[in-house]
This record gives sequence, structure tokens and C-alpha cells, in this order.
Amino acid sequence: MKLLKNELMRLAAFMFMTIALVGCIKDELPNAEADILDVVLSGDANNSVLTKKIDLNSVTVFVEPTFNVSNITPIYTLSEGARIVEGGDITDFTTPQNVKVVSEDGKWSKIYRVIFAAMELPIQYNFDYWEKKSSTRNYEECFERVDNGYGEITNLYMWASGNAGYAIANSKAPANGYPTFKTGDCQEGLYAACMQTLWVGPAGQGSPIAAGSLFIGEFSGKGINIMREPMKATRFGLPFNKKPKTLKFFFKYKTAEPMYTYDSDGKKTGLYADPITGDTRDYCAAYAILFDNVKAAQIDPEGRNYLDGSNILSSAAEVGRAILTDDDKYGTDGDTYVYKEIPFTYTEEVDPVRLAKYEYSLAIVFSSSYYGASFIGGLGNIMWVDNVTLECCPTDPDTGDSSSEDSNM
Amino acid sequence: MTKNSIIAIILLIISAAFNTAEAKNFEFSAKAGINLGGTSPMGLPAEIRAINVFKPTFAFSIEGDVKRNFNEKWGLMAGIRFEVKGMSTDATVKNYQILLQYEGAPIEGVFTGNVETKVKNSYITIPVAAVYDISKRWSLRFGGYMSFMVDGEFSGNAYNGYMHDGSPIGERIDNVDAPYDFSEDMRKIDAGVLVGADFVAYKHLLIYGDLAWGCVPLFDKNFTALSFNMYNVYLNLGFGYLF
Repeated sequence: MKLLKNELMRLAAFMFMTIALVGCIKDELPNAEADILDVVLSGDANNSVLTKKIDLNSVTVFVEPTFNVSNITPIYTLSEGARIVEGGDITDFTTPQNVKVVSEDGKWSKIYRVIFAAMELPIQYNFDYWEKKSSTRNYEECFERVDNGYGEITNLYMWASGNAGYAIANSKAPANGYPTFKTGDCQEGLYAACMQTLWVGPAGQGSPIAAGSLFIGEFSGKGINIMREPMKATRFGLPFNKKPKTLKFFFKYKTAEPMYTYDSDGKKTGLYADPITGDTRDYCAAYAILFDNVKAAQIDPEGRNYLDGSNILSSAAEVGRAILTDDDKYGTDGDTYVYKEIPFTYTEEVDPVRLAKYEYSLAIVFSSSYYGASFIGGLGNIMWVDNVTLECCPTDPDTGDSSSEDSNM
Repeated sequence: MTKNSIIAIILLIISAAFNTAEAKNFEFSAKAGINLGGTSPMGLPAEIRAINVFKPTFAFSIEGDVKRNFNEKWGLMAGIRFEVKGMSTDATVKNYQILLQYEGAPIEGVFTGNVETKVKNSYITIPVAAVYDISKRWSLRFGGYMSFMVDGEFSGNAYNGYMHDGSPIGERIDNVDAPYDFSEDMRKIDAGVLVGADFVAYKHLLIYGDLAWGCVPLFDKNFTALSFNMYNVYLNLGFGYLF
């Protein structure tokens, strides 16, 4: 009987192979991908690279402000078989350059804006500039316009949001149907940043709700399952060489619902009480964190020098923070923007020498639901933010020491 | 056409056949067998790099046939068969266009990695064939069949890979582990050619084999979640009782 079964199995496999393999396994098709996966600088120059951000259509390499980007040789890592057809030999990056990548099969191409940002991070943020990132999705991301040190104003993509993650499950949403979007209802200038807590839907084991967020850093699904580990996709912080003193911003917050928890089908499972206050009202997040990025990499099992959604407010690498705690976080009155000045409190000394070497990183974070990353929040709760200023301690022109004014130790 | 009306028509045909049956001109048989084979593209598309696993699933069939003899050699047969056609495979794919349910949300794009597929379709099939009797024991038949799907499952899992959303230049999603289910997108009807043989082993006992080669694509014509067509090609083997 067993023999018969084996024979039948063999016959079945033979049948299948005969059908399927008419002409056998075909020759491998040339690759269709056209991504820039990484960029490095040749030789010692690479030591001046502080960090980099690569998204769908731009590459931003943050380098030390003193580094000369007028004659550099970037080395690109591309998708298998892809090649650069335009801009590959550009060495002068005093202005952003376009680099065009074509896939191995020649059918797909992408133009990347490659920016070597040899400038200090700005400390004023107006959220006046927004850009659509994907050719098939409507979401926009904001960026700053900054003097690049060569007398030219260039785009600096220092902000990130969770929009790219929301886009996976909601391909048809209009720009203002995303968790983070621009609004003309601003305090000053062209636009303000608007964040809303949205329902994602019956998302299996995924993310039942999405809170709007805006933060300094990068949103990246590289190496993770973005729907299952969304907290890891938010990479908070960019290397920063000043010691922040006060976080100042204008904001409004309107709530429609208290904090609910949700099951994997997106159904409400109950009210959530804040573990510290016992309050079930939803509240917005507005904070800035300065952390030691060398220490962050040391304590992270994978050596990552940034914080993510799971440890942004609980990392041992943190040295100081400014966080919105007063009752306005539960909602503001009327339709007018409220101004806040929040001083930094430091739990550790900031070493001026290490500060000058960019061994600290700055993360500024806004979100329409404080526990949004854990899928707790109130649907329809909206936060507006505009005109953010990070007041920093003055830098000593001789030593580069900006930590001399140690106030809140 | 509803499932019930199909069954009613089939029953009508059979009872009509029985009613007009005369002793020698008609022969009846009942058969039970298994289906071995695959639901597969005709020639593997280049996106499929390797078939790692192929398993036929338990796919049985039961059948009632009636044969009308015209002369010593030639006759015509028709029947009704309830059968299951199924298999499961695991393939390595590259730049494979597919619609996945990514954590519950549909996402269509280009996947590189492993794809598991499970097919289990139940059909009511009407085979019709010309029969040629080679000898008292051996007979061959050539014809066609038409199948009506009673229940269908075509589903699986894409895993151990990554996907580009929409097209190869869309957002890259890593560590994909997501199911797909195209059960609702299959056509309710299959038809194809049939070649088979009977061997009368002992008085009433016969052994038979039928190769049924589907000519109707498995999926509806407006189905785009896979970039190629698939067909049912199965060998039906079994025993029969000759009345």
C-alpha cells in the first residue's frame, strides 16, 4: 500500500512537472528594481557623514557643517543590476543634484534628489513647505528650506511622519485624509502641520488606529515588518551640535473622543486610563529630547544610534527633555493658537566637546494621541502645530562650548 | 445558472439515458478514483524561479457513466462525476505581481520571495467521449468535459521576502509575511479535452485512467492579481464496476 502511495505521488509530481515545466524554468528575468540602497563617501571623507535618510525619491546625507561638499565622490549601492544613467559622476554637491537610476531590465527608472547637507540643523520650523513623495499615493511630507552654507537655499528633509505606513493600507486617501498633512489654518506663513488620529480598519494583527505624528528623524520600514512593528519604523532624532534650552511652539488641540483601546479588527475594546493620572481623556504629545547617540548605539542590541517608538521617552541615552505637561494638552479653547514655552530639564551633563562632535541627537516630536504608537487614542482628535523654535544655549565662539549656561541640572 | 439547476439538468440527462436503455446497446459503470496533477500555468512564467515543494492533496472522484454502442468498435459515452482537483506548492519567485492581504489591508505589488499555494476545487463534471474498443478488455476514449465548480479554494501565503508597492519602483516593504485568497476570483466553469482508457480486469471490475486537460483559464478575465493564466491538468485514476 505504501509502495502504491509512493508511486502515485511520483506520478502526480511527474504530471505537474510535465505541465508546469513545458519549456522548463525560464531564464531569470533581469531585475526590475531601481533603488538607491545606500551611499557612502570614499576614504576618510566618509567619517564626516553624520547620518543619512533615503526615501522614495530623495537621499539626504547629513555631514559635518565644516565638510567641503564641492568635490566629493559618492559611491552608490543600487538594486541588483541597476545602473545610474544621469548624475553618477557629479562631484559638486553644493546644491542638490538629480541622480537617475535605471533598472536592469531598462523598464523602470527613478530620479533621486541627492542632497549633501553640510549645514547646521535649523532651530526654527515653520512647516510652510510640503512635498508629495510617492507617484501613486497622495500623502505629503514637510521639509525645511535652509541656507546650505554656499549662499543657496535648499530643501532639508529633516522631518518625518507615519504617512508612508498609513499609505500601505489606504492607497486612495487624499492628502488631508492622512494622519499628517498641511493646513492653511496656520499661525503664520503659508501652512501649519496638522495631525489627526484615524481609524485604519479591520487590519488583522496590524494597526487598528493611526495617530498623526511629526518628528525629527526618519520613517523607515527597512528590515522590519512595518505593519507588525510600526514602533520600530519611527527613527527619532538627528545629530545636533547645540544644547537646547527651551522648546517654543504654537498649537491647537481638539478632541472628539477619549482614549480607547482597539482589538485587531479595529473594534473598540474599552476606555483606557492613563497609568499615571488615571485620566481617560486623550492628550496630544509635544516634546523634545536630547540624547547621547553614542550611548544609544551602545545599549541597543543592534547598534542603532537613534531611538524609536518603543523607547523614545524611556531610553537611558536621554540627557534632557522638554515636554508639554499642562492641561492644554487635553485640548485648547476656541480656534486660536496657544503659545507654549517649555524649558529643558537635564538629567545628565552635556559634554561640550562631544556636542561639537555631533555625539548627541535631537528629536522633536508632535502627535495627536500620546499613546498613538500603542494604538490607544481617540478617533478624530486633531492637533495643529506651527512656528516652532528651539532656543539653544549660546555657543562659545572659541571652544564651541554651548553647555556653559547649565541651567536646569 | 445556480448550482441546483445544474444538478437538476444533469440528473435529467442521466435518467433519460437510463429510461431509453436497451439491454446490449447500453453499458453502465460506476467509478471511483483520484485526481493527480496540478493547477498550473502552461509553461512557468519567468517570475517563478523554482518549485520547492509540490504535494498532491487528497483529491477523490466518483463517477457514473453510460455508454451507447453503435457497432462492435465504436460507441459514445457520457457521465457525471463529482471530483476534487487540488494540490499545494511552494515556489521561489522574483518580481512576482500579486495582490496580498497585508495585515488585513489589500496591497498589490511586486513580490520577491516564497509563495505557498493551496488549491482545492470541487466540481461536478460531465465527460463526453467517443469510445473505441480495441479488444474485449481494452477500450480508449477521446472527448471533452465540462465542469461546474461547487466549491473552490485558491489561497496561500507570500513569505520570506519583500515587496514593492504597486510597481517595482514603489515603496519597498520588508519582511513580508502575508496571505492571499483568490477563491472568489475563479471561474465557475471549466472545460477541456479528455483522453482515457478502460481495462476490464475481471468480469465487472475495471481499471481506468483519464487525462483531463483544461482549456479555460482558471481565473476570470478581469482578474489581475496574478500576471498569468492557470489551467487544470489532472490525471484521474481509479477502479470501476461494470454493470
